[in-house]
Amino acid sequence: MIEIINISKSYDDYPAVKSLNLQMNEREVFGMVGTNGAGKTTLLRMMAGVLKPDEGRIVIDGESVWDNPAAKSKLFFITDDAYYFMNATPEDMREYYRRIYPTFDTERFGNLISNFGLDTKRRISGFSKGMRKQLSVIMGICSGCKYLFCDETFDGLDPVMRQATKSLFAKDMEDRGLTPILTSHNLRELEDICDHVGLLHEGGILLSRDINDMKLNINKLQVVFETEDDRTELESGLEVIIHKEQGRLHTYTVRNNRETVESILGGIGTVFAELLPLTLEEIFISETEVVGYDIKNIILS
Amino acid sequence: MTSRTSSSPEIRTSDLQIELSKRRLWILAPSILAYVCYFILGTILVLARARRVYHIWYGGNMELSMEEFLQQTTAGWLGMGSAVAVITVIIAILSGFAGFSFVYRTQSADFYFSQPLTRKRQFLNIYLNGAVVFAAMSFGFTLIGLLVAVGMRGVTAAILGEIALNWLRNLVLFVAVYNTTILAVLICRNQITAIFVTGIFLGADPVAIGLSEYMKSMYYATYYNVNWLLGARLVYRPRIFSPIVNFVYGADVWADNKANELAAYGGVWKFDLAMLIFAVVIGGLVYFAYINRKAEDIGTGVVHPAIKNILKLLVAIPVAMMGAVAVDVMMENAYGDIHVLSIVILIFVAAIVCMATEMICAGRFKAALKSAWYIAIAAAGAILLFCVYKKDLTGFDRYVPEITEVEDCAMFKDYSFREVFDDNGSYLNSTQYYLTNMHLTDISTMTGIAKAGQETQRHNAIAGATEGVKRINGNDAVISYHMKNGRYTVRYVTIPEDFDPATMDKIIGSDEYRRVAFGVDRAVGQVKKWDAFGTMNYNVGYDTNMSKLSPEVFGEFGEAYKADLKKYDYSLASSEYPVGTVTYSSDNQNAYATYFNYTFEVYDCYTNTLEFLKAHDLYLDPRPDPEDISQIDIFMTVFDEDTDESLYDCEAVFDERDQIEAVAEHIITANWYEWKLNDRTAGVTVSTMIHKKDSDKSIPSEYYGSILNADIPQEMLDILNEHITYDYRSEGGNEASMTYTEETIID
Repeated sequence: MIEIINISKSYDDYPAVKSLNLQMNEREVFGMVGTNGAGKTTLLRMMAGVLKPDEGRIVIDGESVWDNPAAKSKLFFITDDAYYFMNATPEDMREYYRRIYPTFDTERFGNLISNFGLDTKRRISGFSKGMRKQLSVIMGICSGCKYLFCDETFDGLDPVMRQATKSLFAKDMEDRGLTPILTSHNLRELEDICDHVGLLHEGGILLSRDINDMKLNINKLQVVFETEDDRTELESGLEVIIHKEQGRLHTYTVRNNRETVESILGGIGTVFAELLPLTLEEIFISETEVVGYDIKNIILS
Repeated sequence: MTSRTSSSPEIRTSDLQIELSKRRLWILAPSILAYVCYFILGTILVLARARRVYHIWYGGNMELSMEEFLQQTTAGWLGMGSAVAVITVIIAILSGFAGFSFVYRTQSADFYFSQPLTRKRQFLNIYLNGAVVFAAMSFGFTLIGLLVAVGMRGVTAAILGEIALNWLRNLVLFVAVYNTTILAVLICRNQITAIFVTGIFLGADPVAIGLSEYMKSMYYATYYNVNWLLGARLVYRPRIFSPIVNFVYGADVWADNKANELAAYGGVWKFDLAMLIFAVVIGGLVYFAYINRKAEDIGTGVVHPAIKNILKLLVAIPVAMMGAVAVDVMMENAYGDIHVLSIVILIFVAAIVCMATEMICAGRFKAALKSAWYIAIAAAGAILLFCVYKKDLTGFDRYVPEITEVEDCAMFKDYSFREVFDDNGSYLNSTQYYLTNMHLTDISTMTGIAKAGQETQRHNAIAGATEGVKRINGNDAVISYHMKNGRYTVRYVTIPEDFDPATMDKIIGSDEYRRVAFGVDRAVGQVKKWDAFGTMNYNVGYDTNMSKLSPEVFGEFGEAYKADLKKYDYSLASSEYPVGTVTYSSDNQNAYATYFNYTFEVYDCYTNTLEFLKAHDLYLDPRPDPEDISQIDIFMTVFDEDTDESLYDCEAVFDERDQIEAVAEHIITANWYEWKLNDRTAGVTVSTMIHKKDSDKSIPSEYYGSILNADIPQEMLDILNEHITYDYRSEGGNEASMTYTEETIID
């Protein structure tokens, strides 16, 4: 388990992460989504022991990660733009990682590299962006680390490779308890694979929940009330996040489960009522809109 | 929740070293190439050339045997005189960057810092990899070079030790430069800035040394550099901030010790210790910087604003000061008042440097005026430093050492017409000779002379740059104090012409001075040692007599001259002109080792010497017979009595008998003898040309001499003044020189 305890990090005077608390469980895929500059990569770099938090600490399986090889040996950091040695081939990198991660699986590396269609003797500098990403995923998988930190890893991979990567993750989760921690702007991607999602905004966590709970507990309701009293009664009974009004049609985003909403709807007079589930992307937009990250603000400002 | 530390599968150090070494292959390749060229090809070529040169140049006729010559060559190439330190410094800089510049890219920083290693272990592995690779490589190639030299008969046990010592010194130099480079890398946020800062770190001290010497020579009127004459062991002191300078100084001291047959490593250890301490201290700073460096310190500038500001001042202050110095150079105003333009340029340069530093560190033009108040600090610092030299705030020109600190001292002329030789007949620089051989013990008298001389020298320097301030005539001299701590303190002085002659006599008339200044015993000893038969000349200007002499007869001359030297003092030398000069030259001038040439001036009161000359048919009357002179050509420069500025040159030829007779008895052979005060007759310089009537005589047909203008009859002066050949007062005065025609000859 990874525990992020009250950490803060600033770049000069710019606060990148502010008093953030988070918990990531084993054998779950944790997805981190957030607005641009929310602090996702900074958080991952702190979790990987690259950056030292200004305050707070990050604990992996009970061990503080900063400058602690025991904790760091359990994680592998796949950065957005992975580093490879000058003129190195996949074979060279395999040799390096083999020495750095004693649990590195050389045989599997050979199989995977072959399956992905990469040439082990070709210089990586000649690889496409997608091929470089594939190689870094293979390195991460073969490192044998329990935690795999993936920063925007799916960006740049074609759909087949994305699927293959997801399958690899799933297999390793099953086989050896791999715990991938992902960041992405592609919420559809995360929706497919993640068990748990953390939503970051301006260095803080807006919410962190199991994805199913999250989807069940946030709903969109479209309703035309018979009377104004009906409206008042509904709004007082629900936790309304967003309310939009178009003529007599009211659209609500509410942080309540389906049963609660339906129960309240049953007790008031409505001309029309429809309860819609939200996609992760809609949840993201709703939650960030609440804290002022609204497309209208960006366009109109 | 509490954190704990568990064990993890250990990463083997050997594995890390293997991988790190692979990352350094790009350095290894050119380094190996350089080492092959130096240690293998170079050693072969140098020793082969030495073997060939030994036969061609010396024909085997040297003091050294062939083997000794080869061994000496090996010592120069692979020993302490080796130039391999240049390769060492380059590899150290490249290794520093190769090992640690990963911190400048987010990708590589993430890669390295996310690995399961403590920062300490990561640092030690990367650091040691660079040092171990160098040590192994340099040791291997030194060994190969040594074996090549052994194969070519160029190694003894002593040389083996010297080569080993040189390898160790190179290793310490490497570590010191390597650490310096890494420190620069770790305090910067990008490679360009790091290169710049490395340059500052490694170059600041050598530049400071050069700058200090330049400023002293520019602004201190009494400054006189004798460092190049004294030998490294007497001059060089360990530097705090420059391992490169310490390395070079140490090698120079080693060579100096050997040349003087002293213990070779004597004193060298101080430089090596300084290098080592520097390396260790910087190594500690490097460790601290690495452990505490933030991975996000990437981009522009340096990791801490304080470092940037220190670097800014370190560069801006000397550069701004040089701006002011440039104005003084262009306006020839070293000793004048501080010119307003100097200050304007200084402030301008300080502003430019500070702004440029800010722009480089911030990576944007708009940052130029950030921390603008540092411009004021830099300008103030530069002005202060400039004034330290310009206004002599440290009192350099006034400094006279405490008598109790001085072992002995010396005083001599900057230029001597006397040639000095060592016991092997090799030419010695006269200044070097006086510095190391003259040991005057009347320090109290000397410091009194020095005070007056330094004051006059400073005054004259200021007079040269200040309108309305008149120069003070006097004798230029060098005063050197050999301090009890082994160092030398030297000042260039002008002893004013009105200075008490009795005080000067205490020095110039002392046996300590005369023995070394004239070196009679030394000369006689050298001639006798080498049994150097030679020719003695007695020159009185219009004629020279010569005679072949044996060393024994030269010894007789020496005794006679020494007896006369008892009369030599400042009163004599400053008021009288010699009647002639004696020169003794050994005959075997073609033999490298034993050529000597000594010159001794003879005064009218030197009765013993004159008797000797008469006894050996060398004597000549001090003045020519006017009957032998056909004409006299006088040319002189007329000076302004008040300002000493040249007014005009004039020239006329006199062949009337009464004119010749009027000046012939005043002709002197030269006016530049030591301690003879110049310009005593207020600005007239005279020379003569004499045409002999009797061409059968074996005296020169013409010669150059001088005459005091006070000795020229007025009517002849009037003629001279009518024949101006060059007028300094008019623009394009050289037109007057074009009027120099046959009309100047007075019929």
